[in-house]
Amino acid sequence: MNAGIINEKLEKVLTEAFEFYEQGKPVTEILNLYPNYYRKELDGMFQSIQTLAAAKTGLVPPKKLLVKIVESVTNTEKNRYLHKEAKGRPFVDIIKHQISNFMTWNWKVAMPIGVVAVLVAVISYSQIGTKAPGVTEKPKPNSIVEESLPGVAEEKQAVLPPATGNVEDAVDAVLAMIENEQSILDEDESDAALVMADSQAISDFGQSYNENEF
Amino acid sequence: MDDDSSKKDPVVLMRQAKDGDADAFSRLYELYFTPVFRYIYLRVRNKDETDDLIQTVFLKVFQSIGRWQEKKPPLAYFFTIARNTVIDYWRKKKEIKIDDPEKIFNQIPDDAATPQELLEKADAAKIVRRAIQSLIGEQQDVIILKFINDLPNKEIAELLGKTEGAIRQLQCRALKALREFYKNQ
Repeated sequence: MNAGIINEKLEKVLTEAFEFYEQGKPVTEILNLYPNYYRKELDGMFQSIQTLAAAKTGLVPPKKLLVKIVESVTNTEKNRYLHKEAKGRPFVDIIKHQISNFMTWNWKVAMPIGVVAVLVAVISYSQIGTKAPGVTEKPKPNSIVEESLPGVAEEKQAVLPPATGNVEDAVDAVLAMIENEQSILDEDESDAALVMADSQAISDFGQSYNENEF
Repeated sequence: MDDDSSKKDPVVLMRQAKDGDADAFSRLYELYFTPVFRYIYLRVRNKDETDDLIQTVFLKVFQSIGRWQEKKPPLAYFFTIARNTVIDYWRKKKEIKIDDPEKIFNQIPDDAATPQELLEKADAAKIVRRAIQSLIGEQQDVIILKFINDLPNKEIAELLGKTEGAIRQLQCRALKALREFYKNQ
């Protein structure tokens, strides 16, 4: 048998024995499976495995190196955007980055507080501006305020009889209201006539004399 | 999945890190610091270079996390970057690893000792490093990934682009070569 065939056979045995070892078979049991002339090689292989396993426990990295690496990479994170920019980063990323830079911790706190304060101010201002019935102005019962043409400032009050529950008083009240409404309508008509007259005067203004008119 | 277990799940952490979560990065680094350290320590020659390369690896992971795909196990992702970094390192050094172990054996003093005795004489890690560095590149990888970092053959096969059978064969040859190395000590 030449050396090549011996080596080939040995390799096959070693590979097979290694497979048994990986399957969890005890080393002594594996060694017993093969003739004695393979024993030396097999022993050597298992010894190498044990040596590697023993060395593994001695290979402990220094913790401070990890801290150093994490720190250096964290600092690099700030430059990551620059790295991306060089490659042509998207516009949205740039905006996001700008916002994140702008939004420091103080801004992240101050901004929402400011927004809430502005909202409260706007709401309270709008509430003051609104005349809530029964709160800011009491309705004036039995009175009617009329607005007339500007400059005329005329206020008329129609005094209605108090509600006594008497039928006659009620009839009087209804009649007074009708009279009041009639007076309002009359005033409206006179206002309309006045407006028409004004309108006519404005349209006639500047026109030439028409002799056929007379 | 509860919150605590998700904090430890490497896939979840990778996902979060991909979204820019710095805490997830820190946890991943903590998780993979030891295996990456062991791999690089055993593949390069001195401590300072190990430290520098580890930093480079983690920085590369940070910069390239956007390209990570979930089908790739996170540890394999770290190892791929670590392996490429080591290859670049040796390329830059212009130190081509010796493929013929005989050349290495000639440099080793001829005081025969068993591996156990050697461990008693000196620091086990240093001896193992010398032994591993006597192997060819792929044998180094399979030995470190399998016996130092306990990766399953399936993951090693994916990582190195080989079949599981080829990985097992490489492991056996590497173990045999290691035995030769110890025999010649």
